[in-house]
Amino acid sequence: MCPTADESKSPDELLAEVYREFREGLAGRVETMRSALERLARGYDAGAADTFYRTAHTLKGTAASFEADELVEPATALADVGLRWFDGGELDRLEVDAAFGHLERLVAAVRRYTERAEGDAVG
Amino acid sequence: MEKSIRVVLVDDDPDLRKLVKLTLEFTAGWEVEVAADGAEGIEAVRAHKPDVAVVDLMMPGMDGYEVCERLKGDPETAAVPVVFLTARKELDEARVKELGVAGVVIKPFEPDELAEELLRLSCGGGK
Repeated sequence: MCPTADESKSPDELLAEVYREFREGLAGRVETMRSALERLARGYDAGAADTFYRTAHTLKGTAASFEADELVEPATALADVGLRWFDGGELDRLEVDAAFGHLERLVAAVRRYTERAEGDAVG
Repeated sequence: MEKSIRVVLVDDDPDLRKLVKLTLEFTAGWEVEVAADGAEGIEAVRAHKPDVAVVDLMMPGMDGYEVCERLKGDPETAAVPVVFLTARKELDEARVKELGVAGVVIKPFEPDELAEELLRLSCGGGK
């Protein structure tokens, strides 16, 4: 459940807080995907496929709503790969390698977005 | 005094819940109850009888289709308009129609325009 809005803060301050929490949570989302992908690299695992796909898919939609445009393309690539595993129950080595590549692009995008967003917040 | 619009928002992403809640409360002055999954969302709709239920389609456990099906199958909640929040790729248009969904908001959405869009859809503008 969301916490009750703090009435001592302005809407802009509350919104800035929500954006900051989103940025701070990105590392956790990346780690969730990395851990699921490492499990998948050892062999098909339905639970890992489910976690990987849902995390990537959710990030794709949420990032765009938070104007984190840098994250959308790599998150979409991860979600697309994840959907095939989620639906199909099969994976091949090349797809796993590609997913690790998409994940590294996401990490770089998170860095760029965080720098931009924090720069905007200061400015 | 004008009646405030009440919304139940069901989404498993905590950041998105906070963003939508704040946006609707501060830009539109709506009352927003949030739920993190389908079961919690159904309970919230029963308890609050909102003017609209905004339901994420892709959630673990009970997905948005099932939430909508259960709401429409319960006389207590059948009249509450349901709007889906979704990425277009996952949308099953036939099922959306069959379930009598009021409308669909595609992610990403413009937070500032969300209240207007929900109002339009829940008043029949999405049909």
